[in-house]
Amino acid sequence: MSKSSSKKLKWSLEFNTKSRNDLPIPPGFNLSAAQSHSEVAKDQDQNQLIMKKSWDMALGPIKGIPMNLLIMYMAGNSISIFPIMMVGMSLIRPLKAIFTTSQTFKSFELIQNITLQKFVFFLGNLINIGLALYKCHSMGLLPTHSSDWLAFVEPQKRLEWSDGGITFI
Amino acid sequence: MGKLTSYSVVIFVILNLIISQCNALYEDQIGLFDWRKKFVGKIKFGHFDATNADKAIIATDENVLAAISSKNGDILWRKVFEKENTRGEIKFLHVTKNSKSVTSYNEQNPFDVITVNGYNPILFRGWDMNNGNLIWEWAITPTTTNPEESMFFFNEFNIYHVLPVWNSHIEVTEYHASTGQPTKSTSSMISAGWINKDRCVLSSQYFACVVKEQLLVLDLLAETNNIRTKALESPATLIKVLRGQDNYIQVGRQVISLDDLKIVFENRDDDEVYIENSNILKLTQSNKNLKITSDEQEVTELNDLPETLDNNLQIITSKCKPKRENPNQLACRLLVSTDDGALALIQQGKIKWIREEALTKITAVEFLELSLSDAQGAMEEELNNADEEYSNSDILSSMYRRLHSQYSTVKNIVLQVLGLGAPPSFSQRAGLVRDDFGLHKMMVIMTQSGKLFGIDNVSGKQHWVKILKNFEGFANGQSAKLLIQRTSKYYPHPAQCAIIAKDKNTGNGILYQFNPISGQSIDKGVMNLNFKIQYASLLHEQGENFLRGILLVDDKNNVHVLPETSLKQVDGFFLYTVNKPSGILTGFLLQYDEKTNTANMMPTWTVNLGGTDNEQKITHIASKNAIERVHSQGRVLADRSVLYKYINPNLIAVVTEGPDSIHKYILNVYLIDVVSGAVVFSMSHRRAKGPVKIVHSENWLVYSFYNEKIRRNEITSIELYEGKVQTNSTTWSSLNSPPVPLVERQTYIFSSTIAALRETITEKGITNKHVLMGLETGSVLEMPWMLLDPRRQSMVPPEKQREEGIIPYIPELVVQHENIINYNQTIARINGIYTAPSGLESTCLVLVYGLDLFVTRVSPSKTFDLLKEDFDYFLISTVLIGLITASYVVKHLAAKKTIKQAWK
Repeated sequence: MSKSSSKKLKWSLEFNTKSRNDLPIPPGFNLSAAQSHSEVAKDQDQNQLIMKKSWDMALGPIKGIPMNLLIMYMAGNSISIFPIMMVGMSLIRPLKAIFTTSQTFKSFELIQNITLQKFVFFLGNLINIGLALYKCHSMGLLPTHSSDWLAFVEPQKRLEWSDGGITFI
Repeated sequence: MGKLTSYSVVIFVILNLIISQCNALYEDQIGLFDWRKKFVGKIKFGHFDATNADKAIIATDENVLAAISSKNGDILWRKVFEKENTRGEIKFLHVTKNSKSVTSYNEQNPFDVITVNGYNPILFRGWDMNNGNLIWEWAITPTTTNPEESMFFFNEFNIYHVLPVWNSHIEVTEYHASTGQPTKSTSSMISAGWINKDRCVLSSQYFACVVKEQLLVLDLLAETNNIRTKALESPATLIKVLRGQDNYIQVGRQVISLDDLKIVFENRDDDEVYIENSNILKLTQSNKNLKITSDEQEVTELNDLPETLDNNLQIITSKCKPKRENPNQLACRLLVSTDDGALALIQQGKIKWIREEALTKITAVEFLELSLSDAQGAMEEELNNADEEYSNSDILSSMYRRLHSQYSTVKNIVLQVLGLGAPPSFSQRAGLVRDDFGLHKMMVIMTQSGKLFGIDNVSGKQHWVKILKNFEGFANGQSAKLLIQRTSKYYPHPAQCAIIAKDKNTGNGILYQFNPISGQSIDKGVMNLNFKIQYASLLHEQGENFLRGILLVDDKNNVHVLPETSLKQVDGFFLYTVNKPSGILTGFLLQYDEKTNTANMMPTWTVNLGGTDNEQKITHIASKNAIERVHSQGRVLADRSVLYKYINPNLIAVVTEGPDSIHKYILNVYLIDVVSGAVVFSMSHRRAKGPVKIVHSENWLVYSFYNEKIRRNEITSIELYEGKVQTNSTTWSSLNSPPVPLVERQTYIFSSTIAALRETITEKGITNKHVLMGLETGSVLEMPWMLLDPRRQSMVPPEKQREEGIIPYIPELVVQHENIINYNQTIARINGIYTAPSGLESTCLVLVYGLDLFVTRVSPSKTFDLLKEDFDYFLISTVLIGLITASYVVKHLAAKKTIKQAWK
């Protein structure tokens, strides 16, 4: 806790080594009256901001879908280096994002519970993966046909053995 | 619009051809992995040239006229006549004895060789001996009934055509040799009722016959008083013309000169006799010892006759002169020949060269992998042991074994270097050791005469020769069978082959087992069986010591298996026999009886393909290659679904041909499952006749025939498919209601006559299959399957439905010259093609045989598993090493730079 607070107030310097509570409050200083009001307002404001920010982040992948769709449509179904690169990127990026979800949301995590945002983020990425897969499929890159597995079909084992030919007599 | 589409088709086809089939050799690859050996056939007539005997002019029973160098046996020139005896058979060969006389009577066209070919028409030709140029040619068409009985002789300027009409008269016609003008207006008839086919010979101008106890000699040139007689001591049955000088014959055991009817020699031991300038050369042969004597004086003696010549040697021609030191003795240059066609030149007691002309009549070929070298073998052994003892061995013991084997390898190397080690084995010495890619193989070749060869496929060297006396092919045109009982894969057991044939004398079966690499016989070698063989086959399972048993069925349908320990493996084996004359196919199930330890045959089905009145004759049976493996089980369609192949290992194709009252000829093709006897598919070609050449492989069949109606050669290809689902993806059973195949078929026009057909084969069957076509013109065409594909459609489908690798149908198959694998090395009279897989998946080894031998390799899908010959190892490795060093240097520099920057 102390570490995180020191991080939060990065530039504050601690001059007094002893705890503040040890000292008697100066005369005429009302601690609760001076702080309570403004602190609460500030806190709420920041929370909202963080909330907004986290939702922004969570909805990012979903917002990218129309854009992705457009790019995919533009790329066409022919198999050449650029569409392949594009499909590869659009497949790898959401995957990467899913794996780094906790890192992405780390800064928000401290403040409040953001499971929902995480879930939405995950869902958005999933949709993106699905889109990329669909693109792969329409480009014929997915082994969904029986012909894709033809090379692994074993020859049939013969049960009967036979031979013969024209007689020698 | 129509024009446009047709253009697009043409462009499409051309593009396809360009992309897929640039197979031709580069110029510097000529002779790199192919070789050709030319042959002439078994000698019939032969004469040395008159001046210095430095070449021999020979005529052979393969209808070839050739000049052979006396120095090394090379062919100086060769003329191949028609295969058919009606036009091609060489009836007469005359080589001028005195070269000066030739030019004297014909200054402009000096000819010194005369040949007479065929009997309908009879072709007379004059040749220049030095270069084989044809000087003159003319023909007559005999009108008599038996022109094939014609005999000929040459006298000064004229050729005489002698036509005996047996038991009646002799007709003699005289022609001027170089022009073909008859010298008289009519041919002379000499009535001679005493002439008999088996007892008469013609030697130069004398027509000699044995009649009871008399020898009658008719001088065909004498105007009057032309018959002379001589009483014989005993009635002789044998009468033959002796080789060498004219006018000498052997009657019974007496050698008689026809000029004066004197007995010049008594051939008591019935040896080979040859007349050289009135000298009688006698050839005696016993136990690898050859002796040629003249008047009890020895001319030549050979003590260590090579095995290849040990087969009834006879002198074909000779050139003798008195020895310088002893004028009474003769020094001879002799051209000798054996029964199987080997031709040799003997001079001064030495064999100068041998030509193996038996190789013109090849009946069976097998390629065998060479054995492992000793070092490889030791390694193999260690691995084998490791496999066997894996379960009950610990790390220490296997470690010990490894160290031990390595120690012995090192020891062997040291001993070899010091010259103390064990002597290398036969195969090691001969360089017959397996190479890395399995391209070096031993070709075991069986010939019609019973001579067996072991030939290296890389160098063409004959490593061993074996004469199998009394071995003969079977009836119904079935040649002796060559079976591989064990390949070289089972170290330390050597490879083993067997030859099954008919005994010439008894008609019983005869068997010879041998090691195909060294050529040595195994066990007893030749084994005489006490029964007639009806059919012989290899068992599918290996028995003791990885040896596959031989199944023999005798004439009473009894089953024999060699070795007998393999007898129980016949249980459940299906055998079919084809009776060629009757056209009946019979299927049998072989059963093993444990109690009596015997096997019996149970007939299961019969199919009669003879048709009404047995008019249809079975001409071909095509089964699949037993070692074939099919890698791809289906074919990908345009919609990316799979059309599964109908791969029935028990399927055979039967071709029948016969006359027909309406269509003149009918050719039928049946596909028969030999286990169940079911006719899977059949086809009929009207007005089509043979010769049929057929290839059956994987799920397809290709055959060529002659279309009588349009008078052209056609090729039909058939493919069989199971459909889009496989009925049983794991096992194939012909008895368990196999699927009915879908059949695709297509016929193509081909411009040449096909002499032989064969498919390429590779180890795993991954490589594409091409069809090798031996053409009558002497070239071998590698035809990609893509062009023969029966799924080629005449309608060009829209792009989406177009399958990969399918070219629109065009009726003509074009002979593409870059696909001719023997480029300009013409192979005379192609008889067959043999293909064998090599160790490389991409490469298939090919032997084309006929009058010549041609060995090469083909890689139907290019050499995808091999670096190109011109691969730049140096450049690649330099670049690699350079890049690695550069990256290390740069890394170091970069580190330095960052440190510097950090300090700034």
